Amino acid sequence: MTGAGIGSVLFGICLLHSWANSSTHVLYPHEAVYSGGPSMFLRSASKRGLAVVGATTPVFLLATVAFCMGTRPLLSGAVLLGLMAGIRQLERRMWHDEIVVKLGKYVPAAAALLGYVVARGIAELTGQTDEVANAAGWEAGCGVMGGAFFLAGLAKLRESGMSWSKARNQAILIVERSYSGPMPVRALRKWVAASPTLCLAAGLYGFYGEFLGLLFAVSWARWPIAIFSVLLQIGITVLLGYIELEWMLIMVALALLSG
Amino acid sequence: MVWIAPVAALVYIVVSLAIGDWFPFSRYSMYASIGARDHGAAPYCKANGEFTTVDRLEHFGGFDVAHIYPQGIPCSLEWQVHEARRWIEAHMAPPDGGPGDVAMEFGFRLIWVDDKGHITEKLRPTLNGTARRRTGRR
Repeated sequence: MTGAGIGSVLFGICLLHSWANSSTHVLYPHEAVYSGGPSMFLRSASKRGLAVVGATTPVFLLATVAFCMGTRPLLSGAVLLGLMAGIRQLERRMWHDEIVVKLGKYVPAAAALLGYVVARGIAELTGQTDEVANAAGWEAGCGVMGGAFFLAGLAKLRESGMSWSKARNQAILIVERSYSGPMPVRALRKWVAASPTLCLAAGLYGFYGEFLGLLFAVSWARWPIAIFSVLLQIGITVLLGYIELEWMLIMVALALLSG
Repeated sequence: MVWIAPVAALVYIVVSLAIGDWFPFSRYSMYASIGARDHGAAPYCKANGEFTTVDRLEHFGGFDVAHIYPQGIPCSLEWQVHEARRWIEAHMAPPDGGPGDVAMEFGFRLIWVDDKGHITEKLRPTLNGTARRRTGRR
């Protein structure tokens, strides 16, 4: 399989992960999705959620396969965006007080896909070949993700200033999560939280790394940024307990797809 | 072709800053405000004095769930708190249902970390009442 082929598969996984995430929230709006365990899936799903997810998931799967195989990518990409926007709206309605938006539930694969669809659409309209239009689309997807990382850094700078990266701020964030998860992970989080050096390193890595993420818009910097992103997500998974598969794979997928 | 990605980045940044969190645009501000905290907080739930998770209980009574998350508690695990609130609201005992057989407490561990990495914590209950242990499939 070529690098672009692997990238397509990874991007498809990102899309499916995003869909599964939203579907879970729509299917189980009365369960403790984050603080509960897998036993949630043994309980009855919401009828409304079941109807919507049951009706749209086959279309989403077909569109994902079509997009990843390069079959009518504009149409399949637009269908994917429409479905993701739709389930996101439903998710927002079913979870009160706008917490889906307020508490940081992001959709990086959809953002990159939007960049792809817009740039590819413009390229096709201006008479570019399929190969050039595809390359333009993935370039735009990379730019969007670089922008997303920069925005994350900018938000920290605007709301907390340079002090965001201070060891104590990171220690508090990590220790708050040392009361959940498997016991060895809890112990590790407490140990890291008690080390000002490690916490400072984590803070500096996250803060400045997100600004540097803007370099993903430049082709030569994509692989270093993708590796940075994977390491950042591994750190977030271990220390904060969020398994963000979509964020973990998206930069690698885009680095491969943009050649 | 090299100009496409920088232009896309710029457009995405500008639009996101202008319109905020509007799918699939966002300002990505999760955890951005942690610099304003001097301590943290993690939610806990107890049943008969032992730590548990709130979704293992139902038939709640004896408290006003609106008091679950008082202002000023600097918790970054708000998903868990919102979920707990939803759960409790959806599983309150009916008015004629009688109290549950479990003493239930919900609250926050307030956590401080000093500059040398010493961690101290204190429990702050916000809800005290009764519940039942949840069993079986629903």
